[in-house]
Amino acid sequence: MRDPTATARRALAAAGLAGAAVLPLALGPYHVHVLTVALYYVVLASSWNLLAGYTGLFSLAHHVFAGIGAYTSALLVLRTGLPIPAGVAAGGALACAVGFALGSVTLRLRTLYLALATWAFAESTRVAVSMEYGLTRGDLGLAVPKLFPGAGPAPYYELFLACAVAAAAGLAWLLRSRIGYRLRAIRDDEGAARAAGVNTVRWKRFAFAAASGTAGAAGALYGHYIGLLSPVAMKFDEMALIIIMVILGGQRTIAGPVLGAITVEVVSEGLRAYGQVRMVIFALVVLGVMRLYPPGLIGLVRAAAARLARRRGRAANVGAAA
Amino acid sequence: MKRVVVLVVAAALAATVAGQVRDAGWAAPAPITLGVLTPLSPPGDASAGQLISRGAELGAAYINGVMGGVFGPKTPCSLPATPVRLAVEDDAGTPEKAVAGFRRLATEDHAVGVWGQFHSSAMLAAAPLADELGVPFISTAASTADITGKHFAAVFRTHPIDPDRARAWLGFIQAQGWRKVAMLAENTDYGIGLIEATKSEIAARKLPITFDGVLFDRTSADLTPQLLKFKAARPDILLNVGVGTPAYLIAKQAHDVGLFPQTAMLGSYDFPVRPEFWKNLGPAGNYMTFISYYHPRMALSPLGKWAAVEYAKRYHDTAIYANLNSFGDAIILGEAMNQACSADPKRIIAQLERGRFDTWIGSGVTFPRAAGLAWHQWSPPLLILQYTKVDETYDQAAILFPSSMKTGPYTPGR
Amino acid sequence: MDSTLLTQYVLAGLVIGAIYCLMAVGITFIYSVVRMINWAMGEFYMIGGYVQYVLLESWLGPQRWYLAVPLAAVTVALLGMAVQRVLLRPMFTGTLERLDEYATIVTIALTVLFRNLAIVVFGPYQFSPPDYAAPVQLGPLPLNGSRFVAFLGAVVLLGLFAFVVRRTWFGLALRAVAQNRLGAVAAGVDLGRMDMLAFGIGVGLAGAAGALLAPVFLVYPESGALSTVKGFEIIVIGGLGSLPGSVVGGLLLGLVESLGSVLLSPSFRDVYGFGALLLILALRPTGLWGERVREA
Repeated sequence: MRDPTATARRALAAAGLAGAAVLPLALGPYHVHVLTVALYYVVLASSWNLLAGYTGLFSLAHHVFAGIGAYTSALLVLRTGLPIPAGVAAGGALACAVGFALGSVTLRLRTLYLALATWAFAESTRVAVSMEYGLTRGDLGLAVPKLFPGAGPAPYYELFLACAVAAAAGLAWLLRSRIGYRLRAIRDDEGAARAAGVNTVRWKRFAFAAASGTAGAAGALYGHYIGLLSPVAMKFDEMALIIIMVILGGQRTIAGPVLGAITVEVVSEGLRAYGQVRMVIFALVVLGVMRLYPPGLIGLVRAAAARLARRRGRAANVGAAA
Repeated sequence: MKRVVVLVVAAALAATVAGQVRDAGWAAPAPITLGVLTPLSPPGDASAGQLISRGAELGAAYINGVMGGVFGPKTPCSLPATPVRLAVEDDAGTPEKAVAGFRRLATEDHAVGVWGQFHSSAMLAAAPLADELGVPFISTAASTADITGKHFAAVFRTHPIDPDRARAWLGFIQAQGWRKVAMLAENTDYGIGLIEATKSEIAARKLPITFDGVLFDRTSADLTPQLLKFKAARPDILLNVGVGTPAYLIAKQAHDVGLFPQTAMLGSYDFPVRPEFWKNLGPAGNYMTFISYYHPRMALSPLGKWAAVEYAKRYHDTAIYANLNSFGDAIILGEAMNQACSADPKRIIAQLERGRFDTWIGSGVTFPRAAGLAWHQWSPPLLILQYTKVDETYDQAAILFPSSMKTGPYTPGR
Repeated sequence: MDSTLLTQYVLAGLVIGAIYCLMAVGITFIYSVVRMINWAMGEFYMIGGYVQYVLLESWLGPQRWYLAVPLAAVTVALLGMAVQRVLLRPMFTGTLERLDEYATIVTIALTVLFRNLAIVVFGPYQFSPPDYAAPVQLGPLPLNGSRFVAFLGAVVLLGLFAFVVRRTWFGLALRAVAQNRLGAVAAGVDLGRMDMLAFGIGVGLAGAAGALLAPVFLVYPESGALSTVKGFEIIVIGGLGSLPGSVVGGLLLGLVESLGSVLLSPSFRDVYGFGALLLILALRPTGLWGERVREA
């Protein structure tokens, strides 16, 4: 028999999605732009959540994979005249391959060493991109052809909405499949997972490649939206932002990073005029969440929903008794 | 019951506030918004952003205080005098935030003009948007050639372009008869642009100069290996192309390895004007030559004088180029509105192309639709000054270049 | 290449290598006791620099830097202990899972917090106290006085570190905690206090490094980044928690960077360290001197 709450939930999700899709009609271009960027971060945060949250591979190079995808696609399109969608696919593929390689190199490393190694990889890639300005234009900025020329942010919004939904749904599907169990087994206890017959080498590499490829494709699309690439997006600040989004939203949940990314991006736009004070506030909030309420925003939402349900349940009981 | 009372009180309050707002609207014209888009948080250069936004505040204060707002009886316009207000947005030095910030300034705050850019990549990302929305966008401190070279209809610049700077120091180097030039440049738009401009200027004019330009990562603090290498090659001059901390680190470490002042050093902008120069470097800073955009012996316009005095009063600090140029951009927008008798961004753009404006450094600022990089470009004059005594102030520093303003020869260091 | 230049490079590499060791010693100390990596180490280094500058400017006068250095170290240590008490203590009360992750996230957030606070409080400028000593000549290499002082400081601090850990009762207790927390409790060691002290001492060492290097690399909101980068490279090359490892790692890193800049290209100087790090991790996952870990 079908679970009625699941059906209700599905209907709710469909309605929410439809609402999100027509949102640009109600908002000005600035707000649509902000939401588009937020959706881009939803993809990054969700894919990092797969890697760090579910598989336990605490990579600090996720932002750089987005950059690798973006530069690959941009350079291919500019130099060889490849159509943009092919460029995006190539960017995703290269990020995926590099992620696979990095995953292979760091296979044997424990959490701390893995964090340090991925961080070193990220920093050296950033320096290389900014130094090889003959190819990448470095900090001068590489002008990238836009995907939808001359249009406002609305079509990009729809595109990134689709990407974000695909990322979240893909993650949900993956986690419910056998692969998801394997990944979580690795995170909980790698030795035990191996003893239980999980090919840890293969699945760790898989997690790295899948998450990096997703980030790379998203980064490539994003480059064709903003229209200009610079190594500034490969700075560690960007990684810190992704971490903040995931933690704030709630680690190891599907909806957490979605909620976190949108909240952080929208609030940070709201506080934009305050410059560095904004970052001080975010840092304090993250510390507070980590210290006092690790489930994050999504935990808060769930707790509220549970209370509501309980209250409604009680009301129903009272009604039945009367 | 209680809830009803609260609701009634709230509604009454809201009505009063709304009424007052409308009353104020009747009394004076609503202020015109001027937009500032500048890096205020990392990864952008927040120090530059802070200096620029201070200059912008000064500009708004001047327009509202000294000029009595835009329009009004002092102008030929029949419009009532109208105050301006600033909307400041942070671009964090990133293309994405710059695009978002510009959109917000133009479509939410309804800014009639935007300035304050520092990072070239951020400015280049937002420039097409300025054209699309028809809002004038002035580069206060972003120097890459493409900003004017791409001939954006709505984009202007009051900052020296890289070839200006390269020409200034190559002119000075030629006048000194030097042949061997080394450059240590940070890996930013500024450093890369200047290496490229200097190379192509030497090639284009077939100058008898050997040039060795080396990039370094802005976050690396020890430049000893690069400097030792230069020292062994014995150049005639080392061009110091760092901004902020790297500029000081190059000077200090070049002094430590015995490269400077035996070999001349030229700072690529006016950081030695700031009070912390001698504090940070002490005797190691002596004999430094540097590019400056003004000198007290040059006539600073009344505008510039007002800004310098007012800046010292407000911030207990010496005004430098970033402040003054941002101040100047605010005034230029104000003047353009007065000349056009309009606060319509499109008419401001047309007036910027047509009119002549005063700024902090003088008068006669124009933004012609000229060919190449000169499109919508106005460059402040570039001087080369030199300190020859520890703790010297820049008004005592000798002007070495251009020759028309020269007040003394280059003094080799010992 | 001419031999004077080569000697100069080797010497410059060794000096900067020793300075890097100074930056890394605090990280090593904390890891060896508390088993965590403090990503905000560079920010404590930066705070040490600011405290030093303020002390010299407003109170002690520029000559008495040798008094200011220990004061700065103690100030930073106290701050570190407060941070440990409020934010990191729950790591050890058994209520959290995934300690490494918790520590990484909390200290990365601290990095963002301190860096931006420094801009808010001190403004985005750079400061430098005057040089601590007159320049010296080290063979063919002219050397800045403060750099020489920092070099000596590195030697002294590393020696002190080795002495405390190997020869004192306190060091014994620390090592006991590092090896077996339950056993240490049984032997009467107060774990909470030990963790707090170890964290405080570790960041205090970073503060001392920041104070010593203030005139060498200047003091500004992002000045800690260098210390974090180099410190991490060293501890990975040398092996987490190994003192001889971090000394060798530091000197090696200094040499690799210095020689890499001259033999290859100076622009990529910072990449050489990362390259060395990745290479060593790929070949020896626990660094040159790293501990062997039992897999659970």
